[in-house]
Amino acid sequence: MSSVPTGAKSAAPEKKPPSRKLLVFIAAAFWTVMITASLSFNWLHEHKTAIEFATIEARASFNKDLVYRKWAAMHGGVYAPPTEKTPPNPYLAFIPDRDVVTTSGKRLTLINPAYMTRQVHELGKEQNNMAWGHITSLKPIRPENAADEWEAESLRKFEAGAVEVVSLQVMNGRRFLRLMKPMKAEKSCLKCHGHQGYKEGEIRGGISVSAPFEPYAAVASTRIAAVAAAHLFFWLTGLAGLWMASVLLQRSESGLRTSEERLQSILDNAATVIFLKDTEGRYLLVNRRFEELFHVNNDNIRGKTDFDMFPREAADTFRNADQMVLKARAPVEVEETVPHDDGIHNYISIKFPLFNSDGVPYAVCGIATDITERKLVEKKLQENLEALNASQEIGKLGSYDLDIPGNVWTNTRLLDEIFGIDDSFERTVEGWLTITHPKWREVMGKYFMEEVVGRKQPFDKEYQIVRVNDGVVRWVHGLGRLEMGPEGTPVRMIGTIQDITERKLAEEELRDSRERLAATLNALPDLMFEADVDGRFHDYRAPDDSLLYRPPEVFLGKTIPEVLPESVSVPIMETIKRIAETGNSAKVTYDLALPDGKAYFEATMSPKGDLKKPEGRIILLVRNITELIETTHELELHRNRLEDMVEERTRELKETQGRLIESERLAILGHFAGSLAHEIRSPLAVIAAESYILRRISRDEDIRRRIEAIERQVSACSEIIEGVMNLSRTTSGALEMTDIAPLLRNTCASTLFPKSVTFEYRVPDFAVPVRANKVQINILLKNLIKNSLEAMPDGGIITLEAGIVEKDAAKWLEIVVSDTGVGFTEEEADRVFNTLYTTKLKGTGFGLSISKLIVEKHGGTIKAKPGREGGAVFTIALPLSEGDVK
Amino acid sequence: MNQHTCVKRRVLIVDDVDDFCQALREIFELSGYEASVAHSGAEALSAAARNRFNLFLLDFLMPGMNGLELFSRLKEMNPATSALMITGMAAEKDIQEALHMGVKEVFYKPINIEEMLATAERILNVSE
Repeated sequence: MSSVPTGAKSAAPEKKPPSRKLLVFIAAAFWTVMITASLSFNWLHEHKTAIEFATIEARASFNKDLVYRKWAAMHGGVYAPPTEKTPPNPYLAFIPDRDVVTTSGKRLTLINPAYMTRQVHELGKEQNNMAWGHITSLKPIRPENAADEWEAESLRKFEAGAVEVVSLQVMNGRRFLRLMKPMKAEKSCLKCHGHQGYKEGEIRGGISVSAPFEPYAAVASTRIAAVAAAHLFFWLTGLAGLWMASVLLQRSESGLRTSEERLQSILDNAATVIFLKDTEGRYLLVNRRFEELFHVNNDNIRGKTDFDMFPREAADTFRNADQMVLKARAPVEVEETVPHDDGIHNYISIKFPLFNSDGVPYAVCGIATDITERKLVEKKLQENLEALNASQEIGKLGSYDLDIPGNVWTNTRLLDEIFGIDDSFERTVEGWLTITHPKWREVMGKYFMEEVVGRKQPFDKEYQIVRVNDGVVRWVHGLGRLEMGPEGTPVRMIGTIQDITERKLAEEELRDSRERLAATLNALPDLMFEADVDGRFHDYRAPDDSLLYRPPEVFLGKTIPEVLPESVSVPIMETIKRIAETGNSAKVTYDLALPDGKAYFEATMSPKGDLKKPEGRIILLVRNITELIETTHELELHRNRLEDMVEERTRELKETQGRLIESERLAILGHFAGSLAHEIRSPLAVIAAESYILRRISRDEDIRRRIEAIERQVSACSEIIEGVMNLSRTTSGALEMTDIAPLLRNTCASTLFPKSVTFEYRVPDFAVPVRANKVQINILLKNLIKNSLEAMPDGGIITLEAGIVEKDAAKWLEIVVSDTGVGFTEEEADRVFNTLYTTKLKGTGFGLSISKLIVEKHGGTIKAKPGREGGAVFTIALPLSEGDVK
Repeated sequence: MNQHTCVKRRVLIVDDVDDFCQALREIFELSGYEASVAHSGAEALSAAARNRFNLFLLDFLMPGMNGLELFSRLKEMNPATSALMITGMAAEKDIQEALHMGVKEVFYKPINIEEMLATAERILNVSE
């Protein structure tokens, strides 16, 4: 936004409004005038009222005087005793009856109305606070009644037609309300005044009344004082109000001015285009940016619309957007293209309605930001990103950005693929370590923390990962560059991770095949030659030059026929020819006379490369087979001997096999018999128990005898079962190192014998270590003793002797059991161990076969032979274990 | 045969084979015991909870709880429990374990009745 104006212009107001102080002053003056006017009016009014009241009093006084006078006049005057104060009226001297004497001698003089009025008036005048009258005339009969100046003037006014004169006058320093009315000459008046020439109806004089004004003035003053106080109060309140209003106005004015200035400043300095249009689309206001861009100014744009300024199409778009805003009554964001001088620009505009106080939109305000450049940058950025992604994809290269203190990294899409992760993966160092192959995890953790972060080294390491989504192991090459923070500690690492599995595999394969080749070559027992199809030697390899028929300097560069004798070179050259034709490998065996004697060789020949081309070669691997040939003869001799041995062994094996089959048979039988015996035991137990009960409760001797027979057979069954069980036990059970001596002693000591039998035994009193199974040895001993017992139904002697013997350079425990029973013949002796064979009257035929099985299982032998004096002798030999006997 | 007329000694026979149980019950009754029968470990435990028994005859192999388990449960209820074990077939180590746990004697089926009665007498005389 290079065109943003930098200097902020302070907006000067264009028109100065009338001074606020002047306005306040005018208002104060007006207020003062109003208050003064009101006060004056009130004052005048009060004054007038006082005068009116005084006038009323004066008029009342006048009327009353007039009435009294009328009364006196009605009576033609009254007679009163003359006194000093009331002397006979000299001006009535012309009246004959002015002075009269009553019949009783009392003197009376005529008091005419005027005289009476005057006297009354004089009395009143002496009263300080009363209205008093004064009868007067321009032509008074009595000089004292002459009118004063005011009265004279008033009388003249009467003559001019006035009926009443009222006036406030100062007399003798006091204010009086003076009222004067004319007196017209009436018939009764002329009695006294006729001589003066008056005619009836003429203004003869007047009576003035003077009412003291002080009481009214006092009342008026009090009222005026109150009114004045009220006015003063209102005046002051008004002034204070004005002052306050002025202050508030000043504040709001300055606030408004400031905010207006700020707004104007913001508008003008905004890089965005701002405008205000009325509902009809006419511009009301635009900011400076707008003015600059579209070459208008605020003065000439007013009233114009977009149609006056922009092409029709653009204007239509703007107008539509404006109308949308007005309709929606809410802000709307639109992208607009606006034609500029330098072409079309893209704008993002926020348009919003302005509402008047009634909530009706009256204008649309728009703030439009030019995003042309941003759009271009965005597009470029998008292109760059796509290019980056594409190139990363091609290079199988992902990149990351690790915020070290924040322990979080971001990455490009391809790294997601390389790591097999999605957005939910925890992108931390720990998360990365979980991706690394377990065998690399510790190494990489250490490398990152110590080498990279610790020593501030760039990250550069090839390692294996286990791809998260499918668990496939991949090789990656991680690179990273550190960025340091202000304190010099690493804060960021940006780098790439490349999947190098294919390369690694190829490398490994290459290394493998190289190593294999090297190993093969090194492992070559003898010689290798490289020759061309003509038989010319080009290279050789030999662990030992003594095997060479000729030294290398002689044969290299020469041909096979040139170097080797004909008996060797001919078959080899023939073979080479064949190989050149077929491309198959071939072998040739030959012998050569070497300094150490005749030596046999086997040459394996293979083609290398295209034999039709000059660089085609034949590889000859030559093995010295002299020893092989010599030993072959020896082998021949051995073979014959071996055949004999094999025959012998086979025979032995067959025997062993026969025995194994027998023991296998017994094992199966044992298992089967064991379970059968177990099953039979339960019913047998019931039979035994029931038999017992029957025997107990039966009193019949015959029945008891039969029951006893049943019981005997039950215990016979029981013994058979025991035997079978022993067989089954013999087929299982492990051997372990056991001291057999105590076992022998216990068994011998605990076995019970019938009184007819004598049992003698001699057993070692030292430890006899044998690898044995105690249970089975116990069965073995018991079986042998039982066998002897069964062979002696009529009693006899049983002898058991145990001791250590040496046989075949080994030590054996030999146990010999002999009895004096029925015995057997030499022939029978071989068969006694066969299963179910018995020579005794009693017995199952299990015991001895089981015994043999046990002994064989212990690696020992058991033999039976007839006793020298009848009876039988059983000899058992068990191998002693390592450690021997003391 | 001992004559304990005052208090009869109580025996509980536990075996899943009813015939065998009934026969043994009769045998013990003939010998002056008061004998009861249970056919499983659970039955035996509930019988033992109701009554005191001087001796238990336990079959080793039973469906559900076997004789050894039953014995250890009975011992939990009463540490002084005396028992004989009767078995058709048991491994040597099981027998050793039974004896180790305090079973007085193990008899193989078919049992020798006289021997069993004698053992029972001996045990009860000792424990009295």
